[in-house]
Amino acid sequence: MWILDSAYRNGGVDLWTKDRTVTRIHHDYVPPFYIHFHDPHSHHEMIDVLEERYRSEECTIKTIFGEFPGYSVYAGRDVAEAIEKQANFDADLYNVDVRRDQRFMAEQGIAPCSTENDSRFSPEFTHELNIAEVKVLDDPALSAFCSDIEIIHDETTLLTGQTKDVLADLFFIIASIDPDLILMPDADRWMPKIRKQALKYDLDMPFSRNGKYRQMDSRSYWSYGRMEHKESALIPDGRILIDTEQSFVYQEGGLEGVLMAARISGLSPNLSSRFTPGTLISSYEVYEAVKRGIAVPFRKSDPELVRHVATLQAADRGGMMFQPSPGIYENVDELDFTSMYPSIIVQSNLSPETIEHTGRRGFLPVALEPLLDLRITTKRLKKIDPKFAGIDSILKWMLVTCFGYTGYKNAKFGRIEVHEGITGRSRDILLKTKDIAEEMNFCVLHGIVDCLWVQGAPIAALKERVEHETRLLSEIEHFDWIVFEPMNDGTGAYNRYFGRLSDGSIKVRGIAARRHDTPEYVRDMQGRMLKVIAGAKSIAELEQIQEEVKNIFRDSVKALPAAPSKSMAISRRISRLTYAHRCLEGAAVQAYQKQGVEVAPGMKIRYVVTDARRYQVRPEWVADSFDIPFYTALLEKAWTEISFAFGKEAGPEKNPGNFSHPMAMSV
Amino acid sequence: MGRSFESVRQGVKSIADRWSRTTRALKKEDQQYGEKLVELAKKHSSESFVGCDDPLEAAVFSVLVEILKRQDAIESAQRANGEP
Repeated sequence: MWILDSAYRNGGVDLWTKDRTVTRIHHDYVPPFYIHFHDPHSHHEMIDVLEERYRSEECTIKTIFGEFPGYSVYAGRDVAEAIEKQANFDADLYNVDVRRDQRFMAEQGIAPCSTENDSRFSPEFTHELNIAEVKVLDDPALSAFCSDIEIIHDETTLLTGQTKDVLADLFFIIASIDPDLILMPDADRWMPKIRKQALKYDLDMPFSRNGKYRQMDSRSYWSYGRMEHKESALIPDGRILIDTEQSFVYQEGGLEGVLMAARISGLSPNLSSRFTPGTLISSYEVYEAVKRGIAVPFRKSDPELVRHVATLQAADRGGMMFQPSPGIYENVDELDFTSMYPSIIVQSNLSPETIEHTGRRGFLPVALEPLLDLRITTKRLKKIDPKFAGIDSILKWMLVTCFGYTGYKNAKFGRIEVHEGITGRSRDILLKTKDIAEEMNFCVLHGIVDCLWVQGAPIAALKERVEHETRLLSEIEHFDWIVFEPMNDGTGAYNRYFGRLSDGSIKVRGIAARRHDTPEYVRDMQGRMLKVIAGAKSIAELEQIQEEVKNIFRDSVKALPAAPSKSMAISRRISRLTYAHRCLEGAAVQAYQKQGVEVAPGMKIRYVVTDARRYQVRPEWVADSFDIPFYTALLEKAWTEISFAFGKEAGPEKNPGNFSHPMAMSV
Repeated sequence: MGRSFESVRQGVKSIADRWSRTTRALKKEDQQYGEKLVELAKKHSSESFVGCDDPLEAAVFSVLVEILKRQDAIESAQRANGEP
């Protein structure tokens, strides 16, 4: 019995299982929420009413902080919120907002995308999913209709023509091949449109296996300092539909990543593919809590302790960073700690309840340990077999975000002091590593949070000693040469570097080729430059190819006027719709609106700059010209980044008659 | 997350910007020293956050370390040349 989807329907959980054929099994399930009154006597009237009106029983509530007397109430979230208000927030509520299908599976010890005998923490798992790919070839930003659809199953079918006919054919094919999983680029943008058309033409939409759909509303939200946008989604029951374009988990981890995320978090793959790693790790924590009979708080009631601002500032410093001297260095090793922050949580027993009671083992370290062990395994396995790369990537993301989540004010199992404890410990570790390296006569060039760049030998001995003294695992990457880029004021940038690894590949961080907003033409030029310099094993060899690389810049500038406008598109995720100052991004939002395209904060837009000085831009699909001096300046900037590989004297070569465009600095 | 205040490194940058503006008011022959100070203040701004809470303390610490380094280099050179 392999669970492929789950949903809460009609007072119970629908589990869709696959055992050659797909079956829906309904389990009646009305779980209670729990309530603990700080002073039950003052609320005895309400308690009486609860017992009268709903099924309600006295019980002991097990939380991470200990056990408390309380009541289990068999009612929904609306009742819970009403009680909370009536009790003047003098009560702690638990298990109010836990997804009921997830809770059911956690209590039963089962999980999606696995069978009863499977271990959720095994890196190997199988599935026999019947997979189809559906590609709507029209542009979802512009078109409300689908006129061209490609379906890839055993064979590729191309449907084209009037929307009604195309949809009728699509629905017929989906119904007859009856796939368990549909991979569909922009599914969440197309599905609401397809449903609208299906209603209009009175067609029966067969994506859901029982005709039911779950709706997720569109929303814009802040995440890690940037505005994100999530499309509204229409999720079919009993079939997995993955939006391959919008799904972060699918993009990072492929299908294996989505299925692993579902196994780990206890959420249907329909949800695991649509959630961020942060939501997945918090779902994982919820699943683990329910599995252990620990109640999940509805609202967090362990507020931050009152502290003096100086204490606060001393505690909240973040990760350790060294300042590199910009320039090129030969024979450098990068020592990188594996999953440093989660390892610290496990090793140092950091959990909300262990801040004041250090003696006992905390929930967070206990819950994270198997996940961390799994990640360490997949990290090793992916080097032997690339099929583990997707799984490893998702686990890495989940573990990375689990740290940030401890500092989130509404985190169910988070607390800011844990967050600070982790960064504090990480600073000690990096400083200790630096001390060890220097004691062993290594030269420390740079360090950020969980990695250190050093020159010297023998590196294996350093790694061994660091691992022994810190009790953390680490990895070494050898650079034949590495360039640390300067910031505008000439001091070293922490996160902008590139270098040649000993296997001949180039590792790049923070320069144009790696940034998402870089126009294709500029990225392509820098990509070609990186390919050439990848051939140089030393600084001496780099000098020999300097002219060849410079020529790529010269040729790109020369060919620029004849280049296609589309290759100049700048990709941006917009953070707002109105801008206080004139800027290119604001102009792009207006240009989109002028074309009749609805935009929302967090959405990605692509525009071509036609006149930077007058803030004129056009959406990518209508652009037929571009601002040549502006793009020349971008090319110059990209070449400057590379030119540091040839020493400072190489410098950028200005194109005669052109100038560094001031606005290019902000792109 | 949830709350933020200026980091020591950002604070040092603000100080360096202020010192840079102040430098413009110096006499022409003194300006090079003002500019040098700005550069030295930022030299260790990342590392000094380990112990310093006050950006000014961090900036001064960074400048002093660099001055001591320079003094040491001069004294070594003098010793190498046989000067007292």
